[in-house]
Amino acid sequence: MDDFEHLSQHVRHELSRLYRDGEITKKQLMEQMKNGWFDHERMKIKEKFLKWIKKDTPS
Amino acid sequence: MNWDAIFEFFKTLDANGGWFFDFLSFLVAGTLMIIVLIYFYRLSRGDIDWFGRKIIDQESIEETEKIKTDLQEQLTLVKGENSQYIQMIQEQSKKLTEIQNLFTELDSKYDDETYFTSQVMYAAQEVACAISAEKEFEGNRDDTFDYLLDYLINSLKGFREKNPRIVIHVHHPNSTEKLSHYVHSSGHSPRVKEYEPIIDGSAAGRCWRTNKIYYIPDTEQDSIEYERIELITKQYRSLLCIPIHAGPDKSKRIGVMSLTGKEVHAYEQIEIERAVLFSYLLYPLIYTDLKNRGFLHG
Repeated sequence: MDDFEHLSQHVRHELSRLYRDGEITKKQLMEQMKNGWFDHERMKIKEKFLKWIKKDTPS
Repeated sequence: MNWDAIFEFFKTLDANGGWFFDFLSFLVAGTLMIIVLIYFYRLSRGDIDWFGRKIIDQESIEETEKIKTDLQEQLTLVKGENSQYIQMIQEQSKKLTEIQNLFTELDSKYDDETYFTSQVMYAAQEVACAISAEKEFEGNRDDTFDYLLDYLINSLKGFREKNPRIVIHVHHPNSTEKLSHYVHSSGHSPRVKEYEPIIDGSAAGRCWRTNKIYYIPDTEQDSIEYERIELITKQYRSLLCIPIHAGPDKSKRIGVMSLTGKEVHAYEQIEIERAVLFSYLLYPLIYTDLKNRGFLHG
């Protein structure tokens, strides 16, 4: 398993502020807040699905 | 054409013994003989009649017609099958698109769930930090809750449309009929501190009384328990009140978390459930704080 860094309190608060002020989108907030945490399974499944769909869809 | 010269030429040939005419008669007789032989040969095979006309083979015609009909039937069948296959392919293609859309939707929800889990992790960490550093927390109570409530607020869908705001009320230190302001999220007017919901006749009061979640999808409805305060410029239509407790035992409730939403029916079931999860996350911190300050009742 990959080791993911915990975001510091300061960074988390700053990200919240940026989102509240509309400087970053929800998507950006989510990605940066997660920083890989809890997301590896999802990414594996997504990769599998994208491979399958690419194989089964005629170009 | 000079006919005289031609006659003269034949006369010369005749005068030279007539061999040419003999040759010509043999040639004509031979040719006729071959034609007659071919005629009889074809007649014997049944290819022609006595008058030399070609005989049409009726059986072959019927057979050809049959083949033609068969081919037409096969063509119709193939066309039918082809259209079935085309339809099948179209249906499969539609299903594939639906699967893709479903996956995208599912992935987006999964993405949201993993994000929420990370928020729970950070909120739990902040709670742990606050409990372990009591003095520091006392000096930064409002900021700490600002950050903590932000984790929940930022997890809600359509933040800008819903404009969610949270206020937490606890038991009033001097009255058994009212609740008292404890903390609130950013975005609230400072006047929110002045509001003390009555236990009988307000949404937070009802939540406190019953120790159960009370969700009002539209505060303009008539048949709801809700305190209408004319002086407050209301900026919400939905109101969700969640008891902050340690189970169904009313003696273990310590407060009410109220979450407002700008729209009617602002919150989905999953968002209500997330807010409930956060109320449990906040419990240890609020409990410890109230206990340390001697504000615990019941």
